Amino acid sequence: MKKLISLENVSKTFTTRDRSNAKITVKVLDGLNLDIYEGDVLCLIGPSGSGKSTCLRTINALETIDSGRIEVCGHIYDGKKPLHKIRQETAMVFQRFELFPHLTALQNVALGPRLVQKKSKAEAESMGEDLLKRVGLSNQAHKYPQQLSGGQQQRVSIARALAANPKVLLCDEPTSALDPELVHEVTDILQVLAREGMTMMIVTHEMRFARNVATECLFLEGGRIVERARPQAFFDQPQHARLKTFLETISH
Amino acid sequence: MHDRRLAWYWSLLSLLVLSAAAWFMFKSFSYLDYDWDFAFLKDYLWDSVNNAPGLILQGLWVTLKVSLLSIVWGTIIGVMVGAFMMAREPVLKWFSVIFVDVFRNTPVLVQLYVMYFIVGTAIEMDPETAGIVTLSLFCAAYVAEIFRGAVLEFEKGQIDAAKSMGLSPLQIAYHVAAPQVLRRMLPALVGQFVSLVKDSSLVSVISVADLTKSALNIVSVSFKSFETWFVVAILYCIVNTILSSYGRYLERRLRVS
Repeated sequence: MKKLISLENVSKTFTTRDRSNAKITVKVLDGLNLDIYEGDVLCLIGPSGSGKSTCLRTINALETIDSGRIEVCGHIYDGKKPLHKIRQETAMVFQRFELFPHLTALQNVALGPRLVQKKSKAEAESMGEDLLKRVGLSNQAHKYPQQLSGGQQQRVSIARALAANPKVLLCDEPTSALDPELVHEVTDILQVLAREGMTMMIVTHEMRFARNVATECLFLEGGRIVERARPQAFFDQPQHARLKTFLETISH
Repeated sequence: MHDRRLAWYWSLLSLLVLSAAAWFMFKSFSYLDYDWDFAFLKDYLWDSVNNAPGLILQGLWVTLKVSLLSIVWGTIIGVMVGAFMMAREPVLKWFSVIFVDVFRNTPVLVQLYVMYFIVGTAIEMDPETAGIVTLSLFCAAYVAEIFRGAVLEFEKGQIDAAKSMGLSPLQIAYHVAAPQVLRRMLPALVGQFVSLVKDSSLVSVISVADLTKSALNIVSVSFKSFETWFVVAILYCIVNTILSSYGRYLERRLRVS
């Protein structure tokens, strides 16, 4: 198996001020080590502030790091290569969709192929149409994001992410902003993608989805990976006390 | 609870207040006992002897030219200053903030005097140029604030999404940020432009032959100030109505769905 992403000893601290204006430093990533191979579907699970989202965002160079080494598809983040070139290897799905409101669904999907892959307008649009069909939205292609439901918007944003032909798909809580009955629209598509062999990293609070989709689940706390295991072992025989209490709390 | 239809007597009340205002205006005009004569302005609109535009239309042309150039330059400089205000480099940032404060918080009249009589003397600037430069800077100060406001409201997540797609900074600015920021700026921008067209009347004090200056000249010859100013006011009104209608049309077109 080919190694696509490696994080070595990655650390990051945020400095903020509390109400009394005293400085507080929060260690969001604390010497994180993580390798991702082709075909892996990793689900990142953990309490809020545990560094799950930050971990994804560092892979996409949306966050800077204080120390450590990140390699994504053969590129090392050392400031020598323009970041937007490195980012073309991965794609990201956001919690709040982040579709561009001034573009239609189709234009949203076709924007990347047109600007990044320098395809002609017709080529980009036919690619966009294929992708929208894949997420079951070919009949909504000419609608603007605000005319679509949350689930539809997230599906468009998945299509937009796929348009980049990414080697790794990063999903940052893709279902957290959705109405409960719309969650399956998005999880179904992600499961299909996983089955087709797409390498993915998914931050999620949907445990059932994680159990079904993941090749491995990771439990993060305090910017460290506390436990890493196959889904069945992860959910049925958690090793660490912290994961045990976490799973108990959310199952109630 | 159901939606209730608005009771008819509210409309009656509005009509009552409006008719009182109309009656008051009518009374004021009839109390004036003035011999209205608009006919003499015909020659000032169109010079029939030389078959050329009269003083008023010439003035209108200058007003349009000064306003348009000030709007264009003001917008360009304003967006730049607005961007500088958000810069991390402290000297540029504070210079821009002070620039905006100075031009927003002092009378345009004084700005025009300084620009023409002090700066203009030093570098030999004609009145019209001095007027355009002043109004451009004045307009820029307001545009800078409008631009800054629109950018601050812009959601960072949109930039993240564009970045994650592998777009270059320039592509993000042009394809993602600009259309959204522009749409948010438009209503305030149109208001600012309309008000600039009216403020352009102040260039008459440094003897630019604009619409207001034409009116002043006509009044000093004919002594018919009411008629002259009414006609001039209507011309300003027409220009601004066209401007704001176009602004509203653009707003509708840029609005999603």
